[in-house]
Amino acid sequence: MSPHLQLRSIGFCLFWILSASGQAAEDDASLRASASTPVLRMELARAELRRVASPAIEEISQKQDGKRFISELTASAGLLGDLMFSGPLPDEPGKMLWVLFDLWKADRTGLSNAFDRSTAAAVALTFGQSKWPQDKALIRYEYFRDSRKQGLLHPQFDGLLTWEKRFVVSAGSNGGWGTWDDESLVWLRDNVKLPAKDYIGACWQAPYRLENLFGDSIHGAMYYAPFGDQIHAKRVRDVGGVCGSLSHYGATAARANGIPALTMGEPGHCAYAVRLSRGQWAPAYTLSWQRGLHTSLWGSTWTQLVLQEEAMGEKSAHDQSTAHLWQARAYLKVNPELAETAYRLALEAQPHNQPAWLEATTFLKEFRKPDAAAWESIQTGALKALASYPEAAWGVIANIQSAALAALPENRRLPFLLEFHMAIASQDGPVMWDFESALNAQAAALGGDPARQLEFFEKVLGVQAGSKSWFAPTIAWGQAKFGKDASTSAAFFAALSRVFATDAAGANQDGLRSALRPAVLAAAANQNVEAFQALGKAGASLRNDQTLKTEPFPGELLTAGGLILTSSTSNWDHPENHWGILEACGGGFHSASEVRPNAVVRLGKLGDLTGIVIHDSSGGQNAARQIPLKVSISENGQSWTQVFRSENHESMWRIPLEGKATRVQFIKVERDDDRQEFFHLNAIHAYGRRLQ
Amino acid sequence: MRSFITLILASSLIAAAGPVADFATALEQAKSSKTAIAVLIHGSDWNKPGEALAKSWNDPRFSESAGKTTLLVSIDRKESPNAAETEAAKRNEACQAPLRSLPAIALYDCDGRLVAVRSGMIEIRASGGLAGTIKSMGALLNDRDALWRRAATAGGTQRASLLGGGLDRMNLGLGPNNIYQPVLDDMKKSDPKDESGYIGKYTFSHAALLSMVMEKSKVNAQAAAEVELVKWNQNSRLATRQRQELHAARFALYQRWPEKKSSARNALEDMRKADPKSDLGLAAASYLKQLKDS
Repeated sequence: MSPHLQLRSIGFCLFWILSASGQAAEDDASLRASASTPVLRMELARAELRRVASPAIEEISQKQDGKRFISELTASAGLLGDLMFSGPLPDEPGKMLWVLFDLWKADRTGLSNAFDRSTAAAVALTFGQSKWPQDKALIRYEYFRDSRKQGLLHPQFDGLLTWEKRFVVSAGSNGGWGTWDDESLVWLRDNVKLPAKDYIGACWQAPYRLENLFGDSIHGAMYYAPFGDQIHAKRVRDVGGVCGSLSHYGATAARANGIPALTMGEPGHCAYAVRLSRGQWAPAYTLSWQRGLHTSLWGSTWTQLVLQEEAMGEKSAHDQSTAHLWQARAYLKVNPELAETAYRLALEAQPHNQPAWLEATTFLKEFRKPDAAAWESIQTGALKALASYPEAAWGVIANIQSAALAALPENRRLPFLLEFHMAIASQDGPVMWDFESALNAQAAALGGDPARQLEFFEKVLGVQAGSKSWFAPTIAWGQAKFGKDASTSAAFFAALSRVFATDAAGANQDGLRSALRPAVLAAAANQNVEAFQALGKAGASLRNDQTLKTEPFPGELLTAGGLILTSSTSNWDHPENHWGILEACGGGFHSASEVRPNAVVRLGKLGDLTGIVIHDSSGGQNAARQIPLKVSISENGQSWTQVFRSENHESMWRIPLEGKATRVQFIKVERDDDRQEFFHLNAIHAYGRRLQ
Repeated sequence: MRSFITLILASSLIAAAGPVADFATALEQAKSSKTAIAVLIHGSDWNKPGEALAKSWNDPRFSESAGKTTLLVSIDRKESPNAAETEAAKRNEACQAPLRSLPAIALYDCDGRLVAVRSGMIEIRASGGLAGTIKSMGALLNDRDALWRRAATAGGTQRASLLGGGLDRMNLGLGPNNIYQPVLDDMKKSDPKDESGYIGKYTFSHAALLSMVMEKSKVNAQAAAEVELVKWNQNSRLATRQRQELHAARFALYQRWPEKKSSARNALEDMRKADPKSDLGLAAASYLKQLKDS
């Protein structure tokens, strides 16, 4: 039977089904029935374990007590369930079994206790990864087992399921084993015991130092080498470090106390996150949304972490989906039609199971070769299931895009690409993501014809014009891709003008201005630093070349590369000039007439400030609009500390802050009275030492 | 603004006290009764090691003995407080000791200034447990205040020495948020040439010295940096750790000074000798070994 005939859209999630033959219906019912109860799913788990780890099972069975271990494991719904229904297996399932065998030999009695059993399963799932040392697994298991028994862990640990414990027992370095070993865990458990939310700031127990006290750089081997006798956690607290060491200190302190945490890479930075309670991950020491998680079950993005929490939290649905995935894998090569049905059932059981979508669509590409209509249905199904997580949805769409476009006739390709944008336009998702790379991939998929790509841009802009989250990055992407190139810029501005329905079709300056203004404000409102920066730089041609005469404080200009959000805009405001307020050149904003107008600056770099300089070029009556001027600082943008207030107007206020603003990410400048009046400034510059 | 001398005289332990509901009330009572405040910070719904300590703290026998001279406040930092507890916790917001771990015990003087803090069971046990910690903290406060009472009637270098001695007893530097800055200001006024050495001790910053060394080395002004370091080394008041940090800065300087690179080892050796068994003494020895091996 041709798969093209089998693939039919039947609405939500069920993007393809077997033809209505009697055999297909029987297959569907049979697969469904065999995964319908926990007991039956356990049988599938046994089969899956044999499928992925039979050589290890054979070898272990040859060892003393090996047969007994395998027999107990496969007979134990508890241990086997913990192992098999706790997220994806590690990349070396055989090694995972060997690790579990070691733990079983060392503490067979303990593994009959549900707390320790799930800890053992989490350790096996972690140390079963190729980059984790098998011989350290037992120490890790014993650490958590014994610490819990002694009442030394946070009570949250007692309530964790195996998959949640995987974020605890995996304490290490950048997601692998390393210098943050079990000695550090003991030290952190005994010396850094805090309420869960306080681990968000625990990184700052260690000082941020680029050089150790001998003057050796963190980037060289001698930074920690002289302190080799100390436990690593203690030496980080005493000697210091930069973002990597500090974030590992904070995350490992949480994990050492039984609280899930992870470290994550950000551009030029290392941050971390702490799980305060089920479903509530809190980023810490974070400077960007561009995060690559060092520990994860589903993938390395923050979106996947959030989505995985939701999916794993629905245990019955997730178990059922997992069981159908195992069926699919078992039938993959021997009976692709059955495999296809099993994949469909996996997604039916849990529509937002993104890894299942990725696996199923990869299977379809490789084994079923869907036709154009089927691909369209598949995309529709994926978007319906995942649109509220745009980044996750894009992950699936990206996986099918080239195969789908190859199958689609020319006139259906652009609508196919736009369907993604229509689905996500009203969705913000859990976090900003690399939307521009999606646009790049889509544009590239249309071929190298700039005219076709510009048409795509205009259509996307039309869709995203009302989107809170995707409008600004769409403009920024278009500007970067077409606005700078002489061969495409005229068409780009014409497209902008059409979308914004101005009278200035084809006129660069007006077209750009009309596009940039709302986009800059949208980027600022959405705290999208990257888009704000891209748009700010794009507006260079609209600004006069000017040099601001200023008197800086020592250090780097930390506001450069940041973002400014004003409390309001007005007819006198030129948002294309907002970018310059943070840069050496200067710029300007102009609020509406309101009570307590303000501007909040997010620094380009987290910093230890030496001072702030604020410029206001207005004179006469307008100068009074800015006073009394109040300046506050904050690390998180929520709790503020006032550092300056003045009743006197200056063209340049200089605010020395050496030693008084040691960790600042945000600055708020406001008028501190109850007048209804405009507010405008030309520069807000913070200087100091970066802490990232 | 009240004079610093008034503060000194006011901080003596002179009145009976006992358990108090919250830190804000304790502060009010402390100011009027000139009594210190001992605080236990724990978390009854998450911090198991603090349970036993809280139990002992609430034992009438403890409050009877410790509460004779000190106001006692137990702060329960719950993770899941109810509305009433959240509201009540606002009365404890002024208790802002820098805490690395819980449970913790802190002592404040009658003006609400931190005198000592022990964070986590390791530090509390090392101080002799609950009773021992309270006792040793109280002794420390008495010592400090005895010195500061003498300072109140002294002048010049002697006054600065007594004030600095009081700061030494607490070993908190200038305290969280530089709460003891007025003491330093008084020392500067009494002893403008820093003949006591205490002004140097309480303005010493290893980071600033290292930064100075790096900056001067960049512009080949190492000799000027050396002069600065020698000046610091003449201060006999520096704590052992500060002196070790100073030698580390010397090492950093000589490493960046080709003509004097051979002196780098001497700096490490001086650092080691200052206290061979300390963390920094061991680090210096380790560095020396690595230089020898390389």
